[in-house]
Amino acid sequence: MKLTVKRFGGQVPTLRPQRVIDLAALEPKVTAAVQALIAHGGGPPKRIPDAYSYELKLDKDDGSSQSVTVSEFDVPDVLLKHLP
Amino acid sequence: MQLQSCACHWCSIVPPYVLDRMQSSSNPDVRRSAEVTRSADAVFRTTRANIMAATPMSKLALAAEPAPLKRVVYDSAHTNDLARTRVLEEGGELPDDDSVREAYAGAETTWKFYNQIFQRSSVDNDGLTLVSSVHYRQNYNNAVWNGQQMAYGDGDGVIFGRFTRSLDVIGHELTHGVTQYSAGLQYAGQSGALNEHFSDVFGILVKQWSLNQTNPQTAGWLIGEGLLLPQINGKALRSMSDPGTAYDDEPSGLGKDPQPAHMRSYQELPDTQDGDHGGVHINSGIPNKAFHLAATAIGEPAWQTAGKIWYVTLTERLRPDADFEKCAKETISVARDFFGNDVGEKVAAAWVAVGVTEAGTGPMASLTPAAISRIRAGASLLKGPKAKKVKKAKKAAKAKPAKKVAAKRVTAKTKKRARKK
Repeated sequence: MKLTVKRFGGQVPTLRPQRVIDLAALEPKVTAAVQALIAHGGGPPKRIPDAYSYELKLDKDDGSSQSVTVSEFDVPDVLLKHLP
Repeated sequence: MQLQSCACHWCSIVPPYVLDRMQSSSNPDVRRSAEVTRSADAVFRTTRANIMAATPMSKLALAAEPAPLKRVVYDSAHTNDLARTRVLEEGGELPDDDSVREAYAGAETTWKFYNQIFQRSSVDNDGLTLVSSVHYRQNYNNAVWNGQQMAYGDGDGVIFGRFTRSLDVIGHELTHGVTQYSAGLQYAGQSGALNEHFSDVFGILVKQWSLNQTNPQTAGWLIGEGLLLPQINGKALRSMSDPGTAYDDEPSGLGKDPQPAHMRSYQELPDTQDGDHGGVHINSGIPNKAFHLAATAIGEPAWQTAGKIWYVTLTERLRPDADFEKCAKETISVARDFFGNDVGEKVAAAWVAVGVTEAGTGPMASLTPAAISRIRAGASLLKGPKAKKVKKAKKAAKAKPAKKVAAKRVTAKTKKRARKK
């Protein structure tokens, strides 16, 4: 499974790094955290001044994909440390 | 984490729309509670209005019970745990850590600025403890107010250094708290850009005040100066005196500073994360420029007059959905109410110069013709090619009606001759 992460927000809106993560190379709890976030659906956008937001797109091995956008404050540490 | 926002005009705990709903409730206890709250709020408003009328500007804020400065600093140790290790509290021994020392000192300077200039008791005007977390996350190119406290990253060491280095960024973040507890400006579109704008205004004023930069013409107007590392082509995060010129560095991915300085370059962006919530960090360049123009035109230390006008506007005049025009109208009104027509005209000229208001309309309508012509001259505050363009456009506008009149005269003469013949 492949996770594509786009970062938005922060003090400098022009800085929008993107990272592609091979989840198979990480601990299973990272994949579990991604799946839990996607299952939760992210909820309404949080408007926290200057905070980062992440768009997470999970491409599964069967060809399907799911995505979610969340505030950095909603991402568990186990996943957050792999995000840009 | 939930944001607590005081989203009403007079800073009561319960917003008016909630009271409206409570008053139409089928539960009599809920209705009674709403009535009691409304009547208490009315008494509070009257008392406050009387105090405001009788109090000189130096004591304009209705200070809460004097509460001492209280600070706490946590070390997140490069995780997202905001309360990982408590490393310093008020009066404690300073550890050998620049980030901790800077966050602690910056919170004090900002607290003292608000207390001494506006008689405000901390961010919430009720003695809130200022909590900071440093070394937040890894390679974190950011500083953030999460609704309850500040968090500072150390930067990635490639583009940015540590964010606690910049006092105005500390003042900026804490001002998000002041906004949260006063106007409650919604973080989207123009109200969101104003939210960012007020944070920049009071962030830079904290810095100017602490450095005793009394002349606005020569004072520093860069937000986040020194945060960008030397290899980056840039000087700061934003420039209030010259929006759009703070950085320009494509190779690092930073890109070019996108801030406009005039409404003609206003960026219509979607209210999404991708669209910076309607350009809150982008379009804030327009009111930022207006504040810079107003402060330099007034000429006194920027925190003394311009700062007070903006503070009263933020804490007393704006509602959560305020837009640029409303902000312009209220700052002009506050300036005239507290400092007289002359200062009011200078503030008005600043908003005209950035294209938010037009001379002779709205709050400008009651000004004298002489005052309006001086406000129109505000366009000359623009620099370089923009100023030339404005002058050219004015000349052309003047020339057109003259030609039309001349043409009419010619036509009338020709008709007369024709009739004689």
